[in-house]
Amino acid sequence: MAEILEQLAMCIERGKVNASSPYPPDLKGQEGADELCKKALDDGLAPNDILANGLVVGMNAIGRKFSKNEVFVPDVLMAAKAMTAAMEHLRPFFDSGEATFKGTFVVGTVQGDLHDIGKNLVAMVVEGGGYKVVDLGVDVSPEKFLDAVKGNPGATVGLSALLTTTMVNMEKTVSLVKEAVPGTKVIVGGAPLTQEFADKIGADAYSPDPQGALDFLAAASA
Amino acid sequence: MDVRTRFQRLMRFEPVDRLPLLEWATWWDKTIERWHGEGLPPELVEGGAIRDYFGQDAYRQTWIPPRKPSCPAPAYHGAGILADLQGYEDMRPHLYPDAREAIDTATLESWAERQARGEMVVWLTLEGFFWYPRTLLGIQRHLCAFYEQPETLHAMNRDLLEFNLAVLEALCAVCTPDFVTFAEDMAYRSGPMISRALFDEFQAPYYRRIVPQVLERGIIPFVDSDGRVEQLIRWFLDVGIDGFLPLERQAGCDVAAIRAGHPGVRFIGGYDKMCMTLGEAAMRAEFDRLLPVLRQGGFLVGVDHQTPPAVPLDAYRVYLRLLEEYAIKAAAPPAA
Repeated sequence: MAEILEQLAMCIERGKVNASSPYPPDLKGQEGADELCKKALDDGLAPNDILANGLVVGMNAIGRKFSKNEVFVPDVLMAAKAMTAAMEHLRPFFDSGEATFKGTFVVGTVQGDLHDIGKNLVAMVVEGGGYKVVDLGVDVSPEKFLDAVKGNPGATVGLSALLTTTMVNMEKTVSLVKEAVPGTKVIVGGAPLTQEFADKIGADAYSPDPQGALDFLAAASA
Repeated sequence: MDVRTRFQRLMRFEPVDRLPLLEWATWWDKTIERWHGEGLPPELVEGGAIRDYFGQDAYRQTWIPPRKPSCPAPAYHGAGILADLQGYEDMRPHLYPDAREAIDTATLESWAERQARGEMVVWLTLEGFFWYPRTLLGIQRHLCAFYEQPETLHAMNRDLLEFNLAVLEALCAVCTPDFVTFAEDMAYRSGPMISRALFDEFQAPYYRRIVPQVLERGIIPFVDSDGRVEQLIRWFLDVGIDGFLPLERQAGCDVAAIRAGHPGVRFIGGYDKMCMTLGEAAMRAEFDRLLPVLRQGGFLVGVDHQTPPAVPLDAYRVYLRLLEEYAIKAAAPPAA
């Protein structure tokens, strides 16, 4: 792997956004994900190469540490900020089709639920894992999920809920999506959920953390 | 034994005639709405009145927010009302009301009379040093601020500390609460949202200033944090707080394991709300799970957050019947 991609991965993992960002203190004044991604493109590296061997490596590293409680939510958010800064340079190539995502992930917090931090963390880690993320936001109706699946053929769906009162709405979404677009994979997560509940509502998977969602996507597309 | 004595003795790990029947978290509006259709008298909407109807022990809570009525509300759940230190300075005129004006003296005087007669427990809630900056900055910006805007967080918490100290003084001049909860909600289902290092930098110094003031007045301090709190317990013990609620079972909190590791910690909550729709046997099994810890004292059992709207009124009555049964069972000397 090119040295610049190793540096880029390190900047993503450690949340170093750009040269002017003060965090992390030991990298103050050094180039961050923003500058390094642009430089990698200027050096002629392919966008897919930069994504796979820079961004994805960095986000995977932070995601795994988060799964093991070795880092905390602010660390993941800073990594996601660095990843977003880098993605701004790559996005035109994906928009034009010159580069391709590994797949599409439609994600949202289910109807009646306005909590989004868990859903956002999943979206950030999955995007950093090389997937196109269609974030439908919060309080998303089953019909809106279905529309997004129809608009993104082959997409995997992620449903989030924080409340015991709203997790029941997941079942409606799973049923509607799977009935209308058979074969669609659905993964669920959120504070009150369990594997047992996921099984009961017919979801394909449950994950207690963002990395689990990414691992599921990787396994599903393998 | 009166309500207040029973609570105080329980929290000091002293024998009681029975555990308090005290549902610390009032019911969701959706739960009350459902129960109105199932026989709860429609005029009952306020927590105290509903507690009285169910024959529970009485408490009253006062939550003193560090905001004036002119302070804007966030646009949506989790959003902030300002972005940085300058925004905070601009917002300050809408924050930190005069503590003497922030408290409802007349109501507190009436509570103090009932409290002195032992008829009820008084509970004060203050906003904590994780919670409060989050309400100003919004969830995500707050979490990034630990790294990107440390001075903003310290400025907020310095001011919050002074406000909370002033509230404590003003309130205790009228009515000294039996316990105080610091609202934090700083854990999710896998553990704390931030590291011990961040806690030590951004929260601990402020707790070390206010907790001695709380303890000097004989008030029992609790931390109110949803989610999995095991890791947090050591952190808060180190700043002098040994009470925790609500100990959500769904997040994996296990009061027996926590008590085994930290024998003196006090609990409120701990009863898995998710079993309340599963019938009497499941509810009884949940009380049986908790009984050994209940017998140790220092544990006010209650629903581990709020009773969900999925729970019918009849099921809640079963819960109450079992609560009463186990409240007596837990207080009785173990059978020889």
